[in-house]
Amino acid sequence: MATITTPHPTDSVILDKVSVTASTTAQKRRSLLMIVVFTLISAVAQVLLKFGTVQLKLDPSFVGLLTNFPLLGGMALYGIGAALMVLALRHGELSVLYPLISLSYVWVAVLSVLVFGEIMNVYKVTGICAIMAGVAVLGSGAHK
Amino acid sequence: MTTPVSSIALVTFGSFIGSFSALGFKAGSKRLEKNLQSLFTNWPLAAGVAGYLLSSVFFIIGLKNGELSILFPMVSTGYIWTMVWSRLFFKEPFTRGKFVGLGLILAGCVLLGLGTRQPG
Repeated sequence: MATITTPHPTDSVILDKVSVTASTTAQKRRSLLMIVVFTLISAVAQVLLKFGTVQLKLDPSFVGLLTNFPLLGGMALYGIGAALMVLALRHGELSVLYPLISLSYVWVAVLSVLVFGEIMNVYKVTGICAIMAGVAVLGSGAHK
Repeated sequence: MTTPVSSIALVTFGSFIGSFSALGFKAGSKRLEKNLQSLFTNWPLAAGVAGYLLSSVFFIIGLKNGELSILFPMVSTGYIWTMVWSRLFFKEPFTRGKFVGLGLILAGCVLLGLGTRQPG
């Protein structure tokens, strides 16, 4: 990782290069936060898509597709989430930020229990803890 | 409810396509400007959006059969690809922290998958 030293006023060429390639700590922190918000949005979208596919099975016609509001809503949230993710990816490393999306599995697991009545057990709880630990390890190194 | 292999394959393939769309998003985000025109000439971003939509089609078809909580973690296989592409195209280094973090995430996803097969 490159360390950024305060550029000398005459080093305009170097300054330009730094401003293009490097991001500030505050920018990287904001990117992390935006990814976390993205995971919440995408978890809700996934649950809506699941509802939508169940409805699609019951009414697979074209009109049924157009009035499939859970499916359309899920797609719309997916789109909003994607826009947020693009903004988040501007600063920081892709190989750090992208795996943070796994936080959405944590939200989905919780929502699956609440909405679909799926059962929580020791495997799921351990899995959720492992994902959160992994996200913490990646995130803590992200703004160095 | 059981999860068919075809659904797992569809979702895994969708995540492979998704790892490429992440590359497009990252490259496109560096070209973002504050005018609408630049959005339409931002071809890496367009490629990313196309890949993202394509991967969501695979996810929807895959999710029609099977449990959400076993299929969704299959998307995590895409992170492995993304880490490799990030090194190849953006010169992002492999670090111990990334391997540890990614390893924990993948282990967590496998556990989540196992958890759906166990009674409470």
